[in-house]
Amino acid sequence: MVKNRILIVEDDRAISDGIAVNLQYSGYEYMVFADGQEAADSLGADHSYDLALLDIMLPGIGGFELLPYMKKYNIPVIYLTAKSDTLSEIKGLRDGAEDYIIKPFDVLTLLVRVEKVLERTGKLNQILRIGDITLDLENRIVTKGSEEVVLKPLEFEVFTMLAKYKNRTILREKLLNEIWGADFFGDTHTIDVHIANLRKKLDIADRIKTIPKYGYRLEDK
Amino acid sequence: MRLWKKISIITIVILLAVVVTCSTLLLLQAKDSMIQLTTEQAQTEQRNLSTSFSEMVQYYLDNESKPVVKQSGINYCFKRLAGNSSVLIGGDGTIYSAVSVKPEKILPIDSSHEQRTSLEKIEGRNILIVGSGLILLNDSYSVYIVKDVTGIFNNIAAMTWRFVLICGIGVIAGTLLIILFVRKASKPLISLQDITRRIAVGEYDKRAQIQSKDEVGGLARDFNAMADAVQSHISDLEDTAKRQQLFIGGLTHEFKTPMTSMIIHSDTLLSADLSKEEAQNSLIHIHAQCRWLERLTQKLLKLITLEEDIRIQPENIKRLFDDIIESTAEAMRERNTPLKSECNLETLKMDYDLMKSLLINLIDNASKASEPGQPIALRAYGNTLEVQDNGKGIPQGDIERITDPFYMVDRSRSKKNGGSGLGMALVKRIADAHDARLVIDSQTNVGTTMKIIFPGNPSS
Repeated sequence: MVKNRILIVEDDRAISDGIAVNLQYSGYEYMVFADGQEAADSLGADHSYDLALLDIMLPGIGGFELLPYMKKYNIPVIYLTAKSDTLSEIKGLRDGAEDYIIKPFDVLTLLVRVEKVLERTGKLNQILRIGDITLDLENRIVTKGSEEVVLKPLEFEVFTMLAKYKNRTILREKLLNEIWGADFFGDTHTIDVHIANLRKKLDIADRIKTIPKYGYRLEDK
Repeated sequence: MRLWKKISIITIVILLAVVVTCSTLLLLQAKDSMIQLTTEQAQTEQRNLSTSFSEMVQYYLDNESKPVVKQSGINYCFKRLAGNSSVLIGGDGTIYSAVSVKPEKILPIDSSHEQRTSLEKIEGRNILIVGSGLILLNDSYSVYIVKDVTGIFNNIAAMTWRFVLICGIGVIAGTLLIILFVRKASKPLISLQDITRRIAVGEYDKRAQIQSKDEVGGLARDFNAMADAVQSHISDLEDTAKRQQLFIGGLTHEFKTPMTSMIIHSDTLLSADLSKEEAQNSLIHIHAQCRWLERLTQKLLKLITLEEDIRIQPENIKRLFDDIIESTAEAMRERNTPLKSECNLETLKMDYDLMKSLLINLIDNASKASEPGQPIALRAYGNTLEVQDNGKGIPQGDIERITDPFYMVDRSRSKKNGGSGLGMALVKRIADAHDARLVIDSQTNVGTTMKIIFPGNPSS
């Protein structure tokens, strides 16, 4: 399985470190630059990136000015911006960025946005493997061993989330938000029913861990 | 009701009352004098007739005359004297009458000689009767003058109508003129009211355009002065609000970066199983960001509470400079920046701690702008303290904004050096608190001179 490679251009060391450690944990490869000019200059020699995360305020050349370089090598761009004024967002997107994330953001938001962009640009790995379970995202088929397991649509979504971010505890609310949308206000315990069904159908009661008062985690080691 | 309407109505009513009263009095007066004149004429005429008649009869006749002669003589004499209004009544009845009226019935004359006058209305006509008694040749006679004075009354009536007409036209013209003038006079008030309303809804730049020199003009001038004051206060308030908004905007922005990395790292620690080393690294980042936020809030607090505990008194500049050199010595050694001081001043009135903090800020900025080895000068002369460097200078366009909170000329470089973007804002605030001016003289790649010029005349 080929890992997706992501370019990070961010001058704040604490932020780029935080992003890097999470990308690595989620199975991505990454490259970090703290200076816009250096990042642009490096592209000539190495431009095999599936995605670029660009800060807007950068030393050297800024995030907006970096966009043409990324386009030249067909690298989709997500902006990381502290400017929450919509004008700059619109400018970023109209100029051809795929998405933008407003600081401060949490890890799952970052990972989901990254994945959505990779999915849109056809660079995302569509087959996930957790032990003897195979998840075909494109055809929405789950197989355990050689047998297909039939999941209800919402069970499939929940399992996909857990599988994509395996070994990571996902906040119950986050899980709901990503599946039902950001404005979910219902009973968060409906998620427990789906989890119980998944544990039974896939026979992975020991692998889906309940973290009290926080959420769930799918372990694969 | 509008003021101009009120004034118009009151004025018109008064005008009307005065005109009507005067006209009526005038008419009555005219009527009276005309009647009196006619009556006096008639009385004179009657008296003359009576006298002439009596003398004439006595000339021609005497008591000896025979009754027939007497009768025809009297008849003759009266006819000779009578006009078209004369009447002579004898003991047996009318002797001569030129009129259809029987005056003896209306105004009987007794034997006395007194003249009597009467104005009567008979069959729709005004008749003036003047008569008196007369004894001639032992017989009693009455001589009357009967005049139809209806014409006079008609004249008065016609005059009354003319008066009404003239007064009516006068009143209408007067009314129009009054309305015109009152409206014209009240127009400035109406425009003033209009301006007041517009100012009330926030159009603070509106002014009354009234040039007149009367009370309304005075009111307009005072009003404009008031509007000027209101506008300037409002614009001050708006400026303050805008500055505060910018400040809060900057502050929010400033908080976002440390928040972002704190959220990412804490989130990672919470959700992922990191190796001990990775977890340690995340914790170090979180800790560093917390410390940075702490420094930022300290500076903010200083900026906000600066004026609360300021204590200005004469301070020895030499002591201040020595103190500053000692405080900055280590940082200057680290950055390899030589700091020289020239002190040509005894004392200046200042808050010692705040001024020290200001100068350290300037020295810190100067050393950051300088290459290693480039010297910095700290000087005191006249009423000025200055910090001069030969560093990279400030771009011309940034000098204006450099004292804005969170404004950084080179953001990422500044952050790397631990700058908060509050240093120059603090410098400006401290200078302001001393009523001192901050003068920035800078040229890119030549250097920067920051002067703090204290109020008052330079002392030597």
